[in-house]
Amino acid sequence: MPRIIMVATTMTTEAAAAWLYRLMAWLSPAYPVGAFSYSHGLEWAVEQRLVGDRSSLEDWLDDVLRHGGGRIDAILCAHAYAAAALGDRPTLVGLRDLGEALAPTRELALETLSQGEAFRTTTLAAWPDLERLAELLPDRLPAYPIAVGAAAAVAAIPMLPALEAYLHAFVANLTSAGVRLIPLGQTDGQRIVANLEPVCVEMAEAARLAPLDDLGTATLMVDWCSMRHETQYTRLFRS
Amino acid sequence: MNGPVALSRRATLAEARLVFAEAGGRTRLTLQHIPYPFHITRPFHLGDGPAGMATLYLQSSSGGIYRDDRLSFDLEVKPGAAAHVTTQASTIVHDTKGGWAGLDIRLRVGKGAFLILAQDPLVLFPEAAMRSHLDLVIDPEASVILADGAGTHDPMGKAGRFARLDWKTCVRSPAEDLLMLDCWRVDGQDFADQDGPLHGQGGVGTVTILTRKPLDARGLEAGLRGMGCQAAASALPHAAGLVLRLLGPDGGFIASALDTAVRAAAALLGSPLAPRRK
Repeated sequence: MPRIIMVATTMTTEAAAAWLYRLMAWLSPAYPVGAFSYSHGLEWAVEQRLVGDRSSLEDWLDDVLRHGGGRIDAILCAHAYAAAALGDRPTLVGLRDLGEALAPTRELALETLSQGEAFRTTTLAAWPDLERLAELLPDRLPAYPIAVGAAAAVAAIPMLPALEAYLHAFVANLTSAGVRLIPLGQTDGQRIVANLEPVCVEMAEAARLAPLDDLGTATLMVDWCSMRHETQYTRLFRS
Repeated sequence: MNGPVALSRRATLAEARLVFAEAGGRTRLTLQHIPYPFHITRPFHLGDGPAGMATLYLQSSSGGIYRDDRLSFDLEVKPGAAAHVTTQASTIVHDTKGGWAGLDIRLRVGKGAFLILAQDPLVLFPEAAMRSHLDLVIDPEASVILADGAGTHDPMGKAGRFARLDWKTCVRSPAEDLLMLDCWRVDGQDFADQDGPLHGQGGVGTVTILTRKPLDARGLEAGLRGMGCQAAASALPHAAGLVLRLLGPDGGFIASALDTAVRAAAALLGSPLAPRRK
């Protein structure tokens, strides 16, 4: 009996190691989607002193997670995952259109669509065993959360870890942007990431169950900053 | 806000409908069904905007929107017609006492048609919960300007907050292609919170310009400097047009800015407007 349990445990560990490896690779800052070049309107917010220290950056990111793009992305990712898991291409096409239509500004559209296409292209090239992804995601640019959600489903990565990892990557990238812009110390940046851990976990769980009717943001200030960023005189970031 | 619920006996259920069509070089109101609490003026022609454009004021005769009101408004602008529909003043959304009030607007704008739907900002009283959804089907050769917004007001001065605002604007082509979707969901507490997602702004407004004509977002922004609002514009998805966001200290600033922005938008489309009294 103990031997069977040990075998079962080993198989579970191997399976978990396989998807964990891919999840970590796909949402790593090293994955070539260009995430480092997008600030989600933060560059203008810092310019206008709406964000200027660790506390205000953390508040800003908390709002984006709970009320803005983080929440929207998590819901879209969850629905893309569910559709891909069922092989439901028409629903994925609809989600792709929805992800594009929801982009509130030109630069936020660029941010999600460019990253989405880069993710799809790189993932298909590096993991050719995921050819099902190419069938499910048609040739037009998918929004980033759609691409990640669909890939996670095709690779049999559990949904909740995929959502948490997505939101962590989202927060970590914008924290890094804030560290460079304000500037902040690296340790302060990590304190922000740590403090937002429960928010990411909460929003991932909520997204898993949220219907598409729940889509909606309250971060109009982020929209405004993103729009003003289009004409910001000195820019490090594409959004 | 979406589940079945028993409406109060005083709830108002009303569906209004307007159809504009071109005839003899002028746009005319060819169908109207305007039940209480809606009210309209007769359409008139100021000679501004596209040739023959009809202007009409939309009013409320009930003093505002109340708990469990379910209002809908269908507006069609037939091919070649031009209409400017605007509210007389801001509409108050009263305390909905734990329930909510809804306004659904459905617009259909035909080939070569022109529509301005300019709504003054809603005034959200403490404990008001409002759902406002707008669905537009627009022909690729039509032009539409939408203006709307919201602000808060606390008449008793007790720092009351509205309960919730659920706002959606959905634009599709006649072939059902989704062109843009703008959804807000905000609680009153978050709206007012200085550290919240709106950084303490008391009023918000949006002007959406749907057209295939190339437009200058920067030109639209420039016209709003000095209005006391923060204004910024950007391109819509699918090259569908432009969107302008306004953030201001209260609904009054937003109302003035929306009026200026609508006239600037009309000018960008080559159809400048005369001022309209309110």
